[in-house]
Amino acid sequence: MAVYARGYRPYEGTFKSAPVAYSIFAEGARMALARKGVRRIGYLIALVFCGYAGILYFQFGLAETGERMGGGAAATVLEQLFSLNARFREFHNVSSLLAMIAAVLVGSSLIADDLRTRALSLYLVRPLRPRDYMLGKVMIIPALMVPMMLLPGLLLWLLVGLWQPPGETWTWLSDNVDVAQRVIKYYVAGSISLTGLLLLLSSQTPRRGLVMGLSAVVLFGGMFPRFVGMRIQGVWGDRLRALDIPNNFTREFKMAAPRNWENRVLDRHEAGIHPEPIDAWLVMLLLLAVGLFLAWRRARTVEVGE
Amino acid sequence: MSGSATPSVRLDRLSKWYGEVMGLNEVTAEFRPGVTGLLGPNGAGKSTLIKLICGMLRPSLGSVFVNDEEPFNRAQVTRRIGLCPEQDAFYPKASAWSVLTYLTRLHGFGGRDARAIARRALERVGLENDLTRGVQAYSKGMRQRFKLAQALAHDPDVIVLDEPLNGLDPPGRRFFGDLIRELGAEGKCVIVSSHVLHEVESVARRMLVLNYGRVLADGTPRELRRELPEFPLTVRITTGAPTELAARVMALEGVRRVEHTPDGLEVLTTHPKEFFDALSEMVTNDDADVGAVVPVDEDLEAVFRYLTKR
Repeated sequence: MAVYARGYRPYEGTFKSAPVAYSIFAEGARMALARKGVRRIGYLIALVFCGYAGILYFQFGLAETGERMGGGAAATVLEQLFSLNARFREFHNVSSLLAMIAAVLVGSSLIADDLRTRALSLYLVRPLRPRDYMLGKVMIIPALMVPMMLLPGLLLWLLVGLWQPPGETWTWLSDNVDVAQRVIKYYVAGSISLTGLLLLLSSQTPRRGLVMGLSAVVLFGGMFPRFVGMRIQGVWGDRLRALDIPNNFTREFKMAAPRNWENRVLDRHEAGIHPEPIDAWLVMLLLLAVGLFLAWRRARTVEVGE
Repeated sequence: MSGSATPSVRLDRLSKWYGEVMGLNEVTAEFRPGVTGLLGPNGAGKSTLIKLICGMLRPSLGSVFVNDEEPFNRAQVTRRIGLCPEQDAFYPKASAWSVLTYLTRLHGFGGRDARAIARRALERVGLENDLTRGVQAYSKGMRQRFKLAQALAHDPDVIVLDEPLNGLDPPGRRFFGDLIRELGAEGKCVIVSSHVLHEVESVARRMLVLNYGRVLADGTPRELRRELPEFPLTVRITTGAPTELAARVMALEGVRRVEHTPDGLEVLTTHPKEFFDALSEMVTNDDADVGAVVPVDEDLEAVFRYLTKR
């Protein structure tokens, strides 16, 4: 005979199955957004975006005025003063740095928090497959990077299109659709690199500070092999340059030079500074694969933590 | 009840090594519906056994079956298990309700259902007035209740409680004891781990005693007590009024020695069960000032030494 004291009954309501990986992701995203530091960085990126959008708008106005005044020389001066491409790259330089800091703040606790709070032991005794845990965790940083890397870049492209002379908006947008593609590639590459790196480090220790420190070492220390690689030609030079993780994804927006915008300096910078795309993607995907494997292994058993 | 039903958990020559360290050594046992105590000193292999039953570890040798299926990495098995871990295991800043809703969602429930289930479970353990408080702000007893709620929320068949009475005050012990007995009466297979004999004695119909990774004894509390007649137990009591409490405790049957400690008393009793019953009575009926009640480990280790010598 079952005895239900205090009015308790086993749950008899409707059972709607929700994807478990989504629950892991939603909780991770909620915790990420609950961090003041992450929210502040988000506001800062919004502020920087507004600033650069304002500068670009002002620039277009000045350029049009210069042209109306009939001054080729005036227009050249204005172009030199306010290079559109330079602004575009500057904005992405600043926002990618901020996005990286936000990713490290969030990513340092991706798995480390579960280890530190021992929440992982509660996950393991639930009907949670290791791949659900892994998938849930892997979606958090890409989701965070949408408002920090993807949306501002696409919005800037769209705004500049809208500021074109009447009737030229669609022409400009279709002429420069590769800029949007580059921004998307930049977002994908950034998300892959940062997710892989942070899953890898976060699954190794419960100490958040240590994960943050190691992430900073890897992200900023990568410039040293790149400098060495810049002096080496051939495959090994490319491989060394590919170890600079931020450079692997920032190169995408650096190559996104809108047509009809002056000051295309990028192509000149390409050779010998950036790795071959294949090497850069290889490093990024390898990082992701290792990070995914370690997250999967963590969710499989507590044995590795014994 | 325990004799009639088929075993919910079955261990067949179960062994587990951590490198060269033997965690569990050829354990064969069965756990049926009802409350079973899992006793052993620290390092006996209780936690290893619990992790194996809950599917958190893969056996090195032998097998473990929960409802006739091996639990390691098997979602269909782990969904029928509820674990109340010994240590706190949750994000401290989140509220009890939100954490429990999240954990319930991991069982595949939708948001609305998960919230309803979480609320019911928290109500069952008496936390209905503290749903939205952060778990961090909970007292030790409330955190224990919360851990029990997350183990019960999804209505599992097998409930594993790892040292659930650790650090609880007498009313908390009584509440937990009642609830554990209630779960056993509902037909759940409840496994209560402890390193303190009397804790398990008061709730379990059967006890499995482990030491050095092996089964040392298996039987009813009465059978085990018969082996250990009048074995003394030392208990540390935190109290703000030690002199007053010492006078009352000295009058209890079986109390051999009472000593003052910096935060209360240390009592030696040869009748632990009667002593704890009387202490609970004092707190409930006479409003005695009693904080945490902690039996001292060494006594149980002495019990095991005694058992292993025989």
